[in-house]
Amino acid sequence: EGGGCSGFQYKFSLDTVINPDDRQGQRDCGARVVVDVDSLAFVKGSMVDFSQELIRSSFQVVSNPQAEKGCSCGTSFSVKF
Amino acid sequence: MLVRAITAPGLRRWCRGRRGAAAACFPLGRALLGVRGAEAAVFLQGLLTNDVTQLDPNKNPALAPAAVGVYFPDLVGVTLFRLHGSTAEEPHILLECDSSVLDSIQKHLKLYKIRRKVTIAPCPDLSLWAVIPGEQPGDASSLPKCADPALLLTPDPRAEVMGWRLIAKKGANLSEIIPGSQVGDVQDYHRHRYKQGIPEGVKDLPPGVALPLESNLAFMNGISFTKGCYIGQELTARTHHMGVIRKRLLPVSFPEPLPSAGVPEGAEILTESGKRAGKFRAGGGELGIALLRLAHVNEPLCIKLGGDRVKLRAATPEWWPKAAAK
Repeated sequence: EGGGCSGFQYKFSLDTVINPDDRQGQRDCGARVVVDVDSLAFVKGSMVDFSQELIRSSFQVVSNPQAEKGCSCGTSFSVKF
Repeated sequence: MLVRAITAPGLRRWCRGRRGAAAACFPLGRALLGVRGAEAAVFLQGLLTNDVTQLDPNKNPALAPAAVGVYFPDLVGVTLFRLHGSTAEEPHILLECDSSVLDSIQKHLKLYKIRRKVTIAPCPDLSLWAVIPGEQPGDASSLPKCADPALLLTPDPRAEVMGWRLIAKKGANLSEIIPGSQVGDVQDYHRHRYKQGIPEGVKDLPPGVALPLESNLAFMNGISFTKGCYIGQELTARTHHMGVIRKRLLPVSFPEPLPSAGVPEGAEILTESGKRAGKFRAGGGELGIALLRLAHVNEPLCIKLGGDRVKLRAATPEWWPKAAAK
């Protein structure tokens, strides 16, 4: 969504519903990552991982080829145009 | 669109007392952009320097300000108005801005909208007015009740000296809305602004050049230092808490007649000994606003125009917090 100190921010949530405009990726362990088609444009090619740090332990977007720079806490990013 | 009359406090007091303290209404050629939808406030909250939740009618029903001054980092200062009267109504927020940046702001909002449930559209059928109380000192908070054609009459959130902001349907008759008021020349409104040192519009606040803190946005209640992230928040917060703000926008006046071409924007301002004191930003006639080093505010200053030295004087606005007026 828009907002955050660099302009856009990632938002993770756990869900059971898959909508018609969602796209998904899956790993062998059965975990699925679902992204709506609008957001996909911002995160295409990104890597998602569970990261345990002092600031928090949570799912994070650990690398995003679409992002130009990000904030130090990892929640917000700006986009290359 | 819901039309609501607001009764300002002190109505009876005003009607009883005043004669000749006519308020002057100035039509402002500024654009109004409407953001409506369930997520309007949340959407704007992530993009602006100020706390948009202050506009929530539920939080502080008696005190909820109807206008909140904000600043899109990198874009010019805008004021927000809340049109919806209660949480039962769909949130409807208006942004007032310089007409020349209406497109940029719309583009900016649409870029960050993504999937938010909001609609963003200009409101060409509405007009914005500034209502400045008459010369009489005292109750800036009292104004006659405004009648139907007005959508909103609320104190200008920037400073008490700026009176009120009024939003009405285009073509509304001001003397119906505020009996006893007179429509003034917008140039007088600008003179009032420059005298008080209140920047407004792209000339006073060039996008990408003007910085929120130097533009006195914090003095004008435009920045919240207790809300979450927005673009540029790290720099703004750090400067406020740890840095020293050495330059600010200040009202200036020219005691001697100026050449007809006026003073160019960006003209260098010097002290008597030739030290750099700042830059002229914008103005009209013998008044203006300049970005000046606070250390030199009380010294005699000048600008070199052609071969001449034009004198100018700066003043610390009365509405600044006392601690800052050193």
